[in-house]
Order: sequence, then structure tokens, then C-alpha cells
Amino acid sequence: MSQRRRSRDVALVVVPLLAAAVTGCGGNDTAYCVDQNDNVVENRNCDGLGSPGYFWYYGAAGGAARVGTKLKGGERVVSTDIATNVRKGGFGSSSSSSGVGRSIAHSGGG
Amino acid sequence: MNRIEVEPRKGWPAIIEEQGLVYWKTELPDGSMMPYWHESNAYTLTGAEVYEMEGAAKVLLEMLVEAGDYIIEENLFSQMGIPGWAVPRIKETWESEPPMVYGRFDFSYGPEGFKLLEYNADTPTALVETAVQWHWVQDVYGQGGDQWNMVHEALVNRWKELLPRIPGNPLYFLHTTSENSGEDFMTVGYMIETAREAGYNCELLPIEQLGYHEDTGFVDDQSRPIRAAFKLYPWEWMVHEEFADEALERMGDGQGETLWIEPIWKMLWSNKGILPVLWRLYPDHPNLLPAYFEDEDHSLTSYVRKPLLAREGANSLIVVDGREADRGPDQGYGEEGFVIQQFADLGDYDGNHPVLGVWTVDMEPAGLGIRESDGLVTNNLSRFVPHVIAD
Repeated sequence: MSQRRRSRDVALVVVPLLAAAVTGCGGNDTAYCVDQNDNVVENRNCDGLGSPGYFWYYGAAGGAARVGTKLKGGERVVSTDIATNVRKGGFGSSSSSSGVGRSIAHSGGG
Repeated sequence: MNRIEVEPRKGWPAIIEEQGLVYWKTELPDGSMMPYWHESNAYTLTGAEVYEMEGAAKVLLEMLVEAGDYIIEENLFSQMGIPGWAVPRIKETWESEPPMVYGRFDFSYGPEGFKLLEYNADTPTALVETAVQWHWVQDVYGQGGDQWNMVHEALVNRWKELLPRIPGNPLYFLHTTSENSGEDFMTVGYMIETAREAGYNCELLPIEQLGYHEDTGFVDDQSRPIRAAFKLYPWEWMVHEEFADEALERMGDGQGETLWIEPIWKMLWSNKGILPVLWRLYPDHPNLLPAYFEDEDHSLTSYVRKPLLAREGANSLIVVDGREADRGPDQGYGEEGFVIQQFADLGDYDGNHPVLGVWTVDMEPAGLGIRESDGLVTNNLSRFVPHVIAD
């Protein structure tokens, strides 16, 4: 049989699989508090209910950034938005304990 | 194809659990357990059979494209139980072709060859067990053990191809927390593994924790925007839930929008209504069974009546020679309508009836996973049985 039918040795073990699932894949989860120009400011400007004109900045390129650094490559969320104005629970109501199921075909028998 | 006896590996439950198949036990209604993974037997196929199956899947994928065009041209959405508010986005994405990843054909393999039972195009599972069976064939048959199983590599390659087309970072993977065996979680976890290998940053999120903000669009549990999400959660459910309007309105790869994988047009292919449409377009095709919408005339006396949207054989009815032979559990499906498909001979292998699941990645067939049942309805009490190519 030709090699193309074969799968190579898949390194699929539960430890890395679960680790990947639970922790994500190592993305940059650090959030910085920034001003309107994407310059890093003290976190207190965004903490609590946040302040107008300040944002949480996610996914910045590069390593750790200090106050005053201008961030690039990520996205920002208005700090006053955190924990407010976000509606939750709008998906998921149709599922049951069997989940999406094995969605198996039906028909037949010999 | 044959079904053979195989000596199970010593300590196989621990082996498959370690490899990710943690949901190998199925709880029966009386509270007892039955193994879902079954390695005391295996199915053997010849290389020629695999080539034939691969060829059938390729042709069917091309036919599905024609069928999608036909559904749109003939405006069959209502007949297929697809709500009108989802139609504009289905049409739009059908044309713009946002990224799609995978699907699974289910075939019967009887005396008349491979026959399409249905296509699970939106949220197919059995992915982990398909990967785990590769370890089985290596353990049992050594390096010479052969199997039709390129699914892992094909998924990694597909994710790599899609890298420039996926907006935002990370890429989110959504699963439902309602499912309690671990199957959905591990399926999404496995999909994350393939995407990670392709170079993505990934984030796992229960779909129940998805949030929506008027300005930002869909957000995660930390209010970070979700620009792209793979969801193991069917569109047929999503379009009836509270966030349906938002998902339809903010669909796309721009700022404040979310790109969904699989795309919403998969509602066309994963709907059982695709079966009568295919039969109408390609009557007498060797890989199709005669199929009709319930309100169409037909002369079938042995057939399966399937709800357009049911899962796991629910609310299916099997009629043989005009008499009810079996039926799936009542889970309330059918309000959206039914299709009638000719009863297919799955073959009888020592009293077991296999269904052959052929994986597709993008538009290519990629591998095989076989499940067998005792009865006529292949439901969630079926068993996954590994296969080996033996020429």
C-alpha cells in the first residue's frame, strides 16, 4: 500500500492535549492600560469601572511594555466596558448533556 | 471489507485514555456502561476499496457544490427548514467562501457499493477516535500497519493555508459545557492541537461564556474581541438562540465582526434536505440512495424517514417492506420536516452493521472511521471499531 494512505506518528497524548485545551496555545494574554494614543499608562486608570479615554490593550506585539511605551499589533477595549455593557449567555441554550452528539447516520442493516 | 477478530491490547482503556479518548464508555439508560471503543475486532479493507471510497467522496463534494447552487436558485430554504432570517448570510457566504475546515460523509457499504447516508458538514465528531486508531494499527500491526488516515496532517495543512485569512489573535475554539462525557471538549481540544501545530495562538472558550458588546461585537470572558472562532456548535441551533441576530449582523472579518468556522452556509450541506436535492440533480448516481422530501411522491416501500435536522438517529423511523422495523429515540425533532431515503443495506458482519465515516478536509477526502451497531439505527450506542488496510 502506498505511503500516502498512512498517517505519520501523531503525537497525540492526553497531557499535551489537555494542557493545550486548558491553557490555550501560548498566546499573549497580557493586557495593558493605554491612553487614546495607545501609550501605556498606569493600570489604575483602567481598573475598577475604568475611565473614559482609557482602554485595555490586548495582544500587543513584542515583550513586556513599560509606562509610556506605544503599543502596536493588538486591539483595545474601552476600559469602562469591562464587566459592563457585555451581554452573556446568548448561545448555548439548545445543547443538552449529549452535546452536539456523534451525529451518526441512520439507515440500514443487513 | 471483512470483520476480523483481534487480540485487544493489554491495558487498552488506559492507552486510549492517555491518547485523548476519555469518553470511551457510553452510559446506557439503565445506568450500566458499554465501551464505545471496540478493539476486539477490526475491519479490513483492500486498497482498491479505499480508492473507490476516496473517489466517491471526491465526486460527492463536487456534486454538493452544484446542490448548493440549486438550493439557492430554487429557493428551497423553507422546504429544508432553514429560517428566512439566516438566508441572506447563507447566500452571501456561499459566494464569498469564508474559510471552511472539515466534514464527514457517512456511507453504507453493501452489495451495491458505497451509498451516501448523509454528510455531517458543520459539527462532525469522532475525530479523536480517528486519531487514536492510528496508534492502534501501529501497536497491533507494527510499522507495516496501514490505514486510511491522513486526517491529522490534512487538518494541520488546512489551518496553515488559512493563516493569512484568519483575522485577530488568538483564534477562539468554542465548545458547549453541557456535554458531560468529555467528547465535545476533547474534540475541540484535538482541533486546537492541529491549529497550534499550524502556528496559531488558540483560546478555548465555552460558548456559554461568549459575550456581546454593542461596540466591540462578540467578546470572550475577559471582554477581549473575538475576531475568529471555530465552534463545535451547530448553526441550526445558533440561528434560533438569543445571539442569532448579533451573529448574523456582525459576521465577517472586519473590525467588530467575527469570522465563524464552519461558515453558516454549511447549513445547506449538513441539512438532510441535501439528500433529496442530490437525488433530484443526480438520479441513479451509484453513490446515492433515492431520497425525497416528505411531501414528494415516491414508491419506496423500504425507507428511512429522517427529520431534516435530527442528531444521533433521533426521531428516525425505519420501514422495511411497508412495516416499521425500528425507530430512533424521540427527542422532539421533526417539526421542521422530514426526508425519505431508501433503506440501505449496511451489510451484516456477525450481526454488526457498520457505517463508514469518510473525513473531508476542505474539499479533499482525508481518512476513515468506522462505527458499528447491533440494530438498524446507528445511534449514540454504536461502537467505534478500528480498521486496517490489508491487501
